Amino acid sequence: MQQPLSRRDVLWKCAALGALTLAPGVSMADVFAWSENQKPAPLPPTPWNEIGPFYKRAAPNVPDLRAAGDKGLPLSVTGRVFDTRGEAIEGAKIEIWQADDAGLYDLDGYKYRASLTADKKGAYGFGSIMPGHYPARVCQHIHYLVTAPGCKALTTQLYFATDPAFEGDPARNFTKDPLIQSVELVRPVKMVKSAAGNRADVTFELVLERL
Amino acid sequence: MSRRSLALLALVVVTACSKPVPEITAPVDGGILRVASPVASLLFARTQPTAVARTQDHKLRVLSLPDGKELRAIDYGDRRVVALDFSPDGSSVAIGDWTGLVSVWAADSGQLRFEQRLSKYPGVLTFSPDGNRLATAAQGEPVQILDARTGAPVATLGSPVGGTLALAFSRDARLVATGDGDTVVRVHDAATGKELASNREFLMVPLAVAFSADGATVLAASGDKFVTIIDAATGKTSRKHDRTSQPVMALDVSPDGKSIATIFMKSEDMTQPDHLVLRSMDTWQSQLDWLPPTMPIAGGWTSDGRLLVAFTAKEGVQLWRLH
Repeated sequence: MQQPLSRRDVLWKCAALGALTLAPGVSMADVFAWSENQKPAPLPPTPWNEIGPFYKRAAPNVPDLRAAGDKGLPLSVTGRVFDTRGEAIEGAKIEIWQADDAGLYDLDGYKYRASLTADKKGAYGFGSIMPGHYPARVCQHIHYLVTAPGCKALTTQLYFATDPAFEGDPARNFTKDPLIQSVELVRPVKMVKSAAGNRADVTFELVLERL
Repeated sequence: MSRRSLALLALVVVTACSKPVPEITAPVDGGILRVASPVASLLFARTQPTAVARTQDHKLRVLSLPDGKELRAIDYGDRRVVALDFSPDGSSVAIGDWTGLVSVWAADSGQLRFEQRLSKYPGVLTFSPDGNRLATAAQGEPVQILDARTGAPVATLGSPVGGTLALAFSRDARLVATGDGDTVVRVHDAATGKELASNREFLMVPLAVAFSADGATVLAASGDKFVTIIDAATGKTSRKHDRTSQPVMALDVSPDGKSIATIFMKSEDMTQPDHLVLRSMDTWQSQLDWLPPTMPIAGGWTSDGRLLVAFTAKEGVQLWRLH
């Protein structure tokens, strides 16, 4: 994954490209000092989605949910957990659960279920497969329950822009699944070709509200 | 499906059952409760011989049983209904829609009693057995208990992660049991909202809760595939029944308290029907195990102790009597 530029890198780049010019008496050091004192931009909270009937607590902390030989398009999901002030939340707990390639949930064990912990930068990630279509739902989805001390718990669901239900136009067709009340939850899918075969990469940032 | 086909299907199902069998009950004609417009869902009152049908022409039709006579039609307009409840005493009917608007009408006069705006579409909409209270909750939000006549707030329950997915009042309406998103079953004082007891033994979200007739125990079930008997005073598990093949999605205790209907969920496809098993509350012995021919639109105990299940039919609703 490409690492985002630091604020310092961005400022240097802006200066090099002429997007940033300095008034007389102002040095780059002044600009950096000013920049470092700025608070991160406020972020809107991630839209809510209902928890559904198949949440199971005490899932294992496993970053790869896919076992060798599992059917389905390999999927890599990465993202970061922030609060609405834009500050990363280290240690946020991210519980995920999804259907398998055939659209079935494992109720008896913990297949395609995990409990992850955000790192120092609030980053999380897991490997899985693209979930199948559960018959009682319109769209493929992955359930999330995100909790962190001092923040309001978030239940939401991740959807995929490549879902056939959207007919190539999620912005227009996301309401085909009545549970999707915000197109923000429908994320772009990047297809990656590697020696191991095709893989779908998705980024899903999570923003929690402070209590 | 024609009436002849339904009758044939009924014959096949009846023949296939070795235990006491469901039968098409005959309120009017061949088990058909005739309704003026196709029925989307139906609910039975518990202490009055009435039912309410939500029909595709956007009306709530209050029907007398067993003759099926329409007593009142209430137009609810062009709203997308996600929740419906009929008070067990037959006095009030409530709907909640996708926008989060809850409306409550008097069933006899059709007069709008009150409306409540929720922050999201409702996850809970349940009248107390006496019809005096209404529990409402937006999905994922705390349950509010309202005066069912005026809408005045009475109590607010706690705020579990994931909200409340199942709710039941005790018969005296003093207690409320909830199955919550954090997989906990809680018992609350219905007058104050105070949590009195909790059971944290479930791994999955409890999808069904019910009180025994005396209110001393709570029956609860989840994707764990057990029906658990919980002491309502302490929250402790007093008994856990044998694991089932599918989760139980609804529990309904008979008016005399002697039997319980357990309705299973076909977890691999919730749009398809699964078994309904009637059991003795005392011995947990199965009295009836029935796989409905199609997905029922309603089911429940009536005032005279019959367990009815309803299916859509061309002319209205077909009723099957299971007990």
